[in-house]
Amino acid sequence: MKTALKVLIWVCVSVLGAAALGTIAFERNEPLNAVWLVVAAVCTYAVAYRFYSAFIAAKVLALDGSRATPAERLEDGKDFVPTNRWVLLGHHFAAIAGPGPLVGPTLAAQFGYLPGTLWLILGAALGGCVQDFTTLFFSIRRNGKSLGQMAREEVGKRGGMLALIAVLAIMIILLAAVALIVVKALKDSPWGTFTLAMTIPIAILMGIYLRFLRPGRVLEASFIGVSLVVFAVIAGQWVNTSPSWSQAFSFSGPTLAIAIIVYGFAASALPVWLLLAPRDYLSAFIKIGAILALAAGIIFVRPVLQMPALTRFVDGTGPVFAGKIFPFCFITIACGAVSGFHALISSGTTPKMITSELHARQVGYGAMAMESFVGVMAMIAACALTPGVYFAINSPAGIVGKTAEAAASTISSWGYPLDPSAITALAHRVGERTLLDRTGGAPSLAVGMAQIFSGTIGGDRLLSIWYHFAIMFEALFILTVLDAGTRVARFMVQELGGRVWKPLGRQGWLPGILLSSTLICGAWGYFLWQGVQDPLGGINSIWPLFGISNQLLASVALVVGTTILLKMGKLRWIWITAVPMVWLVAVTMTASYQKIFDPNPRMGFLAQARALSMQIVAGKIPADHIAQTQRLILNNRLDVAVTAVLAAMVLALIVEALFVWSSLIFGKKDVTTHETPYVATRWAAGTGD
Amino acid sequence: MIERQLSHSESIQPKNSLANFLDACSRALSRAFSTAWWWLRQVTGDAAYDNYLRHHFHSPTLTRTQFYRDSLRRKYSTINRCC
Repeated sequence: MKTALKVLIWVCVSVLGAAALGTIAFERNEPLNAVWLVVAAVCTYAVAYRFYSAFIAAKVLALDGSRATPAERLEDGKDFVPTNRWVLLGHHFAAIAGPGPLVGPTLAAQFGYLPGTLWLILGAALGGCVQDFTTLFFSIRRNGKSLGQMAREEVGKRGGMLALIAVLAIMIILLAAVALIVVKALKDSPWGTFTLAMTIPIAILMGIYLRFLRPGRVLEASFIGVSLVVFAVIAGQWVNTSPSWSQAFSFSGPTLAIAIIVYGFAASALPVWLLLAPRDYLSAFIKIGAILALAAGIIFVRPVLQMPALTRFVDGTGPVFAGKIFPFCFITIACGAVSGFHALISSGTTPKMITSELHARQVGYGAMAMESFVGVMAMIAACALTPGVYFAINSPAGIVGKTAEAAASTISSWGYPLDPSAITALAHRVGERTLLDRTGGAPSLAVGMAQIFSGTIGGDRLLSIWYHFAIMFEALFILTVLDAGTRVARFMVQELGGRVWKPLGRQGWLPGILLSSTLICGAWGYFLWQGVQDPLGGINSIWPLFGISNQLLASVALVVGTTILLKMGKLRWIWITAVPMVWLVAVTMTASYQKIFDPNPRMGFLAQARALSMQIVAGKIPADHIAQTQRLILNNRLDVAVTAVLAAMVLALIVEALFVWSSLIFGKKDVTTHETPYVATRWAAGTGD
Repeated sequence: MIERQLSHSESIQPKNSLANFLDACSRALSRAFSTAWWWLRQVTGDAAYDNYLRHHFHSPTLTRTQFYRDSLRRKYSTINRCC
C-alpha cells in the first residue's frame, strides 16, 4: 500500500513537472507566470534526485556505507572532520554558491526566458549535478585528492602543472569579470558606492571583535555587522540626496576600477582575520537572506514574465553579448547548469569532511540542484522586466547610444517598445541618476529583485531601498569572491614561482607576498581596465571568456570521471559522464573557435583587432585615442591567446584520455585504480545524521 | 557523534486532547528551533571550537583565539568559494 502511494506521488510530481516544462516550452499567446518556472524546476529536480541520482549512487558509483571515509580514517580535528550531512550540505552549498548563477541567467535572458531556463534545469540535472556528485565521490575514495591530482594519476602525467596553470588562468578571468560587474553597477552611483565603501570599516570592526573581543563568535559578530550594513543601505539615501556627499561618492568607471584593484591588493595581503574573513561572514549571511527573501517574494508576488520565450537575438545579433543560442546560451550560463569550478570545490574540503559515502548523493547532487534553483530565480527576476527596460540597462552605450532618447529609439526599432521618460523615471525611482549602460547583469537583476521585494513589502516607496539592498548584496558578495580569489591565486603564484625561484615560495616572506599579489592584481586589473574602456561594455567579451574556461574545466572533470568509471569496470554506465562531456566539449570548442576566428568584429577577437587596425590606418581614430585603440587591439590578441591555449590544453588531455580509454576498453591496459584500500567503518550505518 | 543536546520539558497530566495537542506542538516547535540553532552554529563555524575541544588530537590544546586564527588560515589558503 505504502509503495503504491509513493508511486502515485511520484507519478503526479512527474506529470506536473512535465506539464510545467511543456507550458514553458510552448506557451506563446499569453505572458507566462513565473510560478510555472518554479514548478518545472522543483519537480524536475525532485524527480532527478529521487531517481537519477539514486540510480547513479546504487548502480554506477555503488556507494558503500560500510566503508570508512577519510574523515573517519584520518580524523585530525582540523581538515579531516566527520561532519553531519545537513551541516556539510550547508557548507558545500555556501562554497559553490557564487555570483555566477545570478549573473549568467540575467545575461542569457537576452535570448528570452526559454533557452536559459531549459539549460538551467536540464543541464543541472543531467550535467552539473552529476559532475559534482561523481567528482566528490572519486575524491572521497582518494583521501580528498584535488581534481588536478586525480587527472594526473588517472589520465596522464601531463596533468599536474597544466591543471595548476589552467586554474590560475580561469581565476584571473573570473576575478576580472566580477570586478567589471561591480564597476558597471556602481559607476556614478553615490548611494551604492557609499554603502559598499561602508562595508569595509564594518568588516574591520567585525574582524577586531572576532580577533580580540570574542574570538570565534561568528554569529554575534555577524549580527552586529549585518545590522550596520542594513543601516548603511538606508543611510545611503541621505548621501544620495545631499549635493556635497553625493558628489564625494560619485566615481567614474576608471576611478572605481583603480579603487577595486587597490582594494583587492590590500584585502588579500592584509591578515585574513582583519578584513577578508569578516567580509566573508557578512556576505554569507546577506547572501542567504537575500536568496530566501527572493524565493519568498517570487512565491508571494507570482510575477508575470514580461520577456518573451524567445527574442530575435537568438540569431546572434544581441547587444548584451554576441553569439547565437548555440553555443553561447550554454556558455553564458555556467554556474547553475554545469560549472567546472564546482569540481574544484567538490574535490576540496568537502570530501575530507564527509562521514559516509552515502551522504555524497545529498551533498554532491543535492547542493548543485539548489544552486540551479537560485539560477532559475535569477532568470525569473530578470525576465520580470519588460524587454525595453532589460535592454536599456544591459546594452552598452556603444550600441544603443548614450542618451535615453537614443537608447529608446534603438531598442524600439528592435521591436521592444521603450519610452525614454519611462527609463529615466525608473532610474529616479530606484535612486540612481541613470540606469543606462549598466551592463554586467547586476543592476538589471537588482531592479527585478527590487520590484519583487517591493511587491511584497513597502510598495513603490521602498523601491530604491530594495534596489540598493540588492546591489549591495551582489557587490558585497562579488567583492568577497574577489579578495578571497586574489589571495588563493597569490598562493598558486607563490607555489608555481617557488619552483623557479625558491624564496617566492616561502609563505611568510613579505616581499614574496607583495610581488605575487602585485602580479595577480595586475593580471586581473589589466583585463578589468580593458573592460572598462571597451565601448561595447566589456562584459560581452570577458563573460564568454569566463564561461568557456569554466566549462573547459568541467570537461576536464567529466573526462577524469569517465576514465575512472572505465577503470572501475563500469563501461555500460559511462554515458552518465560521457554524454555531458561530449556536449560540453562541443559547446566550448565551437565557442572558442567562433570567438577566435569569426569574421564579425563583434564576435571574433581577431576580426575586431583587424577592424580596429584598419580604422587607425584609415585615419578614423582621433589622435588622442590611438594609444587606447592600440591597447584594445593588443587585448583582443591576448584574449585569442588565452582562449587558444586553454582549448589546446583541454584537447591534449582529451586525446590522452582517448588513448587510455581505448586501451582500457580493448583490455590491453592494466586496470590500476588509485582508490585507497577498503577499511570498514567503526560507525553503524546511517550515523552522522 | 551527534552533538545536539535536546531538552524536553517534563509535562505531566495534560487535561484534555486540545491541551495535549498544543503541548505536542510547542514541544515540536521548540525541538525544531533548537535543531535549527544547532545547525546554524555548526554551519557558520560558531561551534567549531566546541567541536575541536571534544575531538582534538594534539596535546597542547589551542586557545579559542589560536584555534580561530588557525582555522582562518587553513580556510583561506585554498579555493573555498566558487564563481
